[in-house]
This record gives sequence, C-alpha cells and structure tokens, in this order.
Amino acid sequence: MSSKAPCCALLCFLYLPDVASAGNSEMAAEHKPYLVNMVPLALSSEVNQDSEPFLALDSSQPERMVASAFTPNPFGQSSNTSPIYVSLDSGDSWSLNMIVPSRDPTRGTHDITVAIAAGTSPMLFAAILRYPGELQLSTLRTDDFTSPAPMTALVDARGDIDQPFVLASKRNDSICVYVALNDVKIDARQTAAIDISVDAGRSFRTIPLEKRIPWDHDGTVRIALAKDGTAYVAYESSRSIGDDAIIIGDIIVTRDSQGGLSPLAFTDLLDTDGLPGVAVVKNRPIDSADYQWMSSQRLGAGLAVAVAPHDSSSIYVAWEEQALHPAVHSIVVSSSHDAGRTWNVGIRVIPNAMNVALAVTEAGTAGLFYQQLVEGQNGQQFWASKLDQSRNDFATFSTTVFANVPADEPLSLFQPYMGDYTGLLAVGKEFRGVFSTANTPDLANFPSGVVFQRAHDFAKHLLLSPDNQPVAVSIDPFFFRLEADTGQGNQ
Amino acid sequence: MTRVIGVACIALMLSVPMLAQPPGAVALRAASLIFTGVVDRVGASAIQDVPGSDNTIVVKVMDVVARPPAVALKHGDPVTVRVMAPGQLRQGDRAVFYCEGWIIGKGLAVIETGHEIIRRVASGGGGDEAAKDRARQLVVTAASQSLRQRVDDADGVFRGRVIRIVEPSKQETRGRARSEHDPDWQYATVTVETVLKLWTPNDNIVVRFPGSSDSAWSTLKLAENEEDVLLVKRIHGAHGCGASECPTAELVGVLTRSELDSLLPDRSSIRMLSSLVEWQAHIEWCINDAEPGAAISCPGDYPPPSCAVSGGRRCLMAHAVRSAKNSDCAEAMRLTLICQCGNVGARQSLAAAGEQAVCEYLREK
Repeated sequence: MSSKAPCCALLCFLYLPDVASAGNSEMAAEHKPYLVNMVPLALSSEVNQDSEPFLALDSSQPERMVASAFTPNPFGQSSNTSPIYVSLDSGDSWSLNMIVPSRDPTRGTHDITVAIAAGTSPMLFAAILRYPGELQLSTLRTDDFTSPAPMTALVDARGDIDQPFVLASKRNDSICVYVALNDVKIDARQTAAIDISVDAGRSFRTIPLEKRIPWDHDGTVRIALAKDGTAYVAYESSRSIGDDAIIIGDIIVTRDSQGGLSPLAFTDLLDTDGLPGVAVVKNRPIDSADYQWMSSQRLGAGLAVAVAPHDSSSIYVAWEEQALHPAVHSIVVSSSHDAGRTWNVGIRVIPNAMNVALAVTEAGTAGLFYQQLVEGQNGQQFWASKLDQSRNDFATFSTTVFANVPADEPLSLFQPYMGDYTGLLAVGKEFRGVFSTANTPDLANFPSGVVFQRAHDFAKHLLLSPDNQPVAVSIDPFFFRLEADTGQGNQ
Repeated sequence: MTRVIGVACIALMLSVPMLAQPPGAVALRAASLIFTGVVDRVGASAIQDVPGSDNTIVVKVMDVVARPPAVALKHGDPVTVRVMAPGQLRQGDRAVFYCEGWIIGKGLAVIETGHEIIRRVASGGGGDEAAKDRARQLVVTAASQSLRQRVDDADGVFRGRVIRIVEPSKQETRGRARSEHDPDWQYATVTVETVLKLWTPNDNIVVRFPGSSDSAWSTLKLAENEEDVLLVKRIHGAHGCGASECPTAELVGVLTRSELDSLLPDRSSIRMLSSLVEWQAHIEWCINDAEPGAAISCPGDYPPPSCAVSGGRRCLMAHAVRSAKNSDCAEAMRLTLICQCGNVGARQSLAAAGEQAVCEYLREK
C-alpha cells in the first residue's frame, strides 16, 4: 500500500470512524442551500421508484442541466422512450423530456448516466443499459436535449457490459467522450475498461485497464478529468473471497496526462510491481458475494473519484467497504496530492453510509456527498442525505443535511431502493447534486428547506393528485445546489 | 356537422389545408393520451421549455378520453401540441387529439400522432359525443390488440398451480463475485390445469423466473401454491440445474382476471380455457412441435415422407387438419395418432375422445 497516512499499521485493518467526537467538528454550512423535488407538477400522481439519479451540466451555460433516474415514460407501455430530467434555470424547475430510446415499463432504462460536452452547441451523451436487453450498452447522443427527437445511438446493444459511467469534455477542438465500464467480453476477470471517443462519439476505442489477474471480475469503474486534460480512473480489483462471502480487493487508480489519448493510455502510474495502476489500498472488504443490506437498500460497491480542476495533482477517491462483524458498511475517503503516487488513506470514514459522490470546486473545496442510515431517539431509522465540505483533506469539514427521512417508507419495489450511485458536480463556486429519497412532504424531513414541484400539502404531509386526492409516498429524485465553503470564516 | 378525416368531406378540404393523419390504428398505436379540445393559439406554446413555433399550438382541454394514470390533465388545462403538419388547425377548431408524450413540466407538451376535427371554427355545433365514442372504441380495441399480441408472442398460455420452487443458482454462484444484475433464477414446478396453448402435454412444467429484485429484472415473481394464468416462453438448453429439474419455460407474464375476461369475451372461448381437455392438449402439442428427424417417433409411419425430414409433427398435423377440413375424419384421426405413437396415454386419450371430436377440433384450426 502506498500511503503516507498516520497510523498506517492500524489503518491496514481498521479505519477509525471520523465522527464529531473523534476530533473533527461538524459545522452547519454557512450558505443556504436550495433543494427541490424534481418531479414536475403535471406528474403529481406518479408513484414510481425514481431511484439512482445522476446529473450533468453544460459548463458554458451552467443554468442548463440534465439529470437521469430510473423513471419510466409516464405515457405508458406504448412509448418507446424513457425520460431525462431537464432544467434551463439552474435547477429551480425541472421537466421531463422523453428522448432516451429504452422502454422498461417500470424503470425506463437499467443503468444510466449522463454527461454534457460544453460548447456553442452543447451535446448530451448518455450511457445506458437499454431495455429490452440484458446488460446491453447503448451510448447515446443528442445535440438538443430539449427537442422531442430521440437520442441517437452511437453504440447500440453492445452485450455483456455493466455499470457504464459517462463523462464528456471539450479538448482543443475535439469533443471527447469517456465511458468507464465493465466489459466481460474482454475477459471474464479483467473487465475494467474505458471506451474513448475523440470525435463526439462517432467512433470509440476500448482500453482495457486491469493489468493484474483479479480473483474475479472487476468492480465499479469511475473516471475524473482535470482542466489540463489529465484523466484519472479508479476501479475495484478483487483479490480473494472470505468464508463469510466478503470479497477482498484493492482500489486501483490509473492516470493519463493526455486525457486517455496517450499511445499507452492510462499507464502513467506504476505500482511497486511495475504494473500500471497504483493501489490506494490493498486487501480491503470491498464487496460481498452474498448481498448485504442496509434497511431496504441492497448494498453495492460504491466508488467515486474527483480531481481538483486547476490542480491535477490533487485527487480524492472514496469507496464503500463491507464488514460483517460488526456489520458496518462504511465510506472511506482518501486523497493524494502528488498525482496519485502516494495516498492519505482514510482521511474521512463514515459508518453506515453509501452512494458516495465526490467533486472539487475551482477554489479547491472538496465536496463529499453520501446517504447515511442514522438512528433517531426512539430507535427509528432514517436515511440522511448529506454533503460534507472541506478545504484541508477533511481534517475539518462542514456538513449540510438535505434530507432526513424515515427509512421504513415507502417499501421497495425493486433494487436499488435509492440507487447504487448519486451525482455531484462542482460549477464555479457551487456544488450541485442529485439524490433519491422518500418524498413525504414533511418539512421536518428536509432540515435545509425544500421546494416541491408536484402537488403537495406540507401541513398535512400529503402528496396530492391534480384533483386533490392523496398520492402514495414513493422515491423521488431531488436536486440541490449550494455555495461552496471558501475558507472565509466557515472552517 | 362531424367530419371524419379523409371521408366524405373532400369539398370542404379543398378550402382548408389537407389533414395529415386520420385517426385509427396508426395514430392510436403511438397515442397514450387522447382528449378533445379547442385550439386556443396557433404557433404558440404554454410551457416554459418549449418555444412556440409553426409546429406548435396550444389546445384547451375539454374532455380527457384516455390518459396514463400518472399524467395530470383535466378540463380547461392548456396543452402544447406539436402538430404533424403546420396549418391544418385554426384557432377555435375543436378536435379529438391523439398524442404521445414529449415534455412534462408545470404543464404538458405532447406530440400529435393524429387528430379528428369535430367542428371547424364558425361552423355548426354537434358531433362531440360521436367523435369521443369513436375514440373510446379505438382505445378499447387497442387494449384488446395489445393483450392479444402478448398472448400471441407467448409460447404457452395456461392456468397452473405452483407446487414447488427451488433456487438452484444460489449454490452455483457462491464462490464467485456476483453482479448486482445476476438474475438469481428460481425454478417453479407448475402443475398445468387448463391450457390455452402449450407445446407439451406434460402435467408439470418447470418455469424459471428471476428471483433477483434488481432493476434489470422483472418484478414478476411466483410463489408456492399460487394459481394463475401464466404466459411463458419456451427455453432450450438450460443447464447447471444441480439436483433440480431444468426449466423448459421462462415466465413472461401473468394474466389478470379482467385481462382474461377481455381476452375471452364469449362463452365458447371461456369454455376453451377452462375445460380444454387432455386430448386437445395432446393435439396442440403436436401442432406446435416442429422438430424433425430423431425427435419424432415412428417416422416410418409418416405418410408424407418429407414431414419426417423437415417440419416434424407440425407438418404431419397440417396434413391432419387438411384431412379434417376435407371431411376425411378417419385420415385425420390416423395421422393424429401417428403423431402420438410414442405416448400410449395420449393415444388412449385421443381414442376416448373419438374420431368425430378430434376431427371437429382439427377442422377449427
């Protein structure tokens, strides 16, 4: 393990939970956040499980954003498309546009992530596991995400692909598209790979990332880009399985200073074995062959990576770890300030948490979003959706709680209940993000305030149909934005 | 005056732009929202995310004929409609609109798949109810066609009771990393009670369904002692079943009581599903089995030799059906018995039914 964290020997086996009593103080964020339930007024009667949201924005016109979720086409089974969520006013309001060519009647698509390449004509890209189909990747594009024309398939129904994660950027005059994924067709075990296009998706090449022989297929794969074009990819590489079905593995980070366009792409970082990809940690309980659960949520293998936009040597990686004894599912955050060569492991550890997302503002504030299962005074469990911000590797941080909802309502319709990931972006001085949680319109559930687009009655804690009939509680996507901490008096 | 597009109003249409799409099967196939309304503004939009253009009109809703349950729409709401061709509708026109979804926000924007003008602006009244009735009838017809398509697409439709469920894949997957999208197949042994269509005369069928609750898989599940009308797809080559019997079918749907009633509205059809007897199932199995060569029994008895080479039992039964339609019931019976020459029980069942019953059944094919 390459680490310069203190207490290394202890950290190899156990991270110390980083809670208020452990020396770090949680502070209320200085700036008032804006939180909105994204389900629009004209869809007030919907009761879908709109889980696993993701967010993209047009950095040249940051008021224009697109989000995705497991939302089926409200117009029913005769429809051949699924919706994206569109906002043209910085997230104040959201509407649905039915342009994703996939038609699962209860979820729309299976996995879906979205990205926008900024420019005079911003392009929206989506990487989805389409329906009908089983683990079939479609990479999609539209040059106008407000038009009714369905997105065009750049790659269609490519089989044996899992967990596609798309990113897009403008590099010189080229639109680069990245799809981090697991490609079982390459190899049954060395599955971590990335599709790269330098021509706005007209053609892709697939770059295998895994250079070692894992015990079984790789886990989650994620990518981040700095302004100078440096790209980092993080992925989970399994090493063994324990008697308790816990999968032991490494968190690997690779780098390409030319945004994946080097002749030997993603080989800038070498580990002590001489192979590309540095292990942030080795032999950690990164997943389980038998599903673990937290309340109604099946646990996955969450992973996030972010790089400081103007300092490509500063990187943050966060992953989720499983442990049966005691049964804790933790998020572990680590940082590197030498371009991934050495790592400060476990700078923040959050117990009973999942759906981690990371972003870093241009001013260098790190944002860490997560959803945590917490216990109330009477033993009742709640899902808390939180954002931590820090400017010093989480030695100190502020926490904003967006939602704190009872964990036992609604019942899950399918898994994942709230999603296997969430979305967090940094734009200018702001963090913007999306998460899904229960939509009971009770202001006590949203301590930072909330706006509901759909019909509701805060006093009676009721969702309403257009004719004022009660509508059942369900899982909805929520969008938030808030000004980032700047270190001017709030740290 | 009511005008159905494209019918008996040529003279009037000479004075107005040609209407693009008659309502009917094509329009309805894509339409999930049908309403009557009055054109309020042309070249305009009522929602923020859609700029007005030549292709958009704003329609005030009068009555909603059909809408998806999640979509809010009521009398008086303004709907932005992207029309198929500009210029066909004028402010004040009243029409039935057939639409699919586009934008759902504070309001609704939809894409027209067809419309039927009820009344031109400044023309006489009337016609609303007739047009709405036609729209309602189209909705009913479309629902029925959709259901029949599901039944047609299934290889088997039968009422059965689940007597046992095993999870063979659980043992197999231990010892390797799992994907959250693994189906976690479960195998349900279903006792067949009555058959609408099925390729096998077996009393029990092993049907697989995904035990996984993952988003990649259907939420449709079976439970022990459950009794339902199942829609299944035939599957071949399932392996790795361990000690349990391999499935030959995959669950693709369950018919609700109301779907069953709408599918089989007349008593004879209901009788068919509720009392399709064993010998009929044996005939259905023959008709749906096309495997030639070694898969058939008694190939030497096949009178048209080509069926033994290609087409198998289905080919043989085509000859049986032809004989029945030609009133050669003896030949029809003989061919049917050849089809079941390897199944003594089936032959006894067919013989008990009698030549005349078998012949009449085949004649209906």
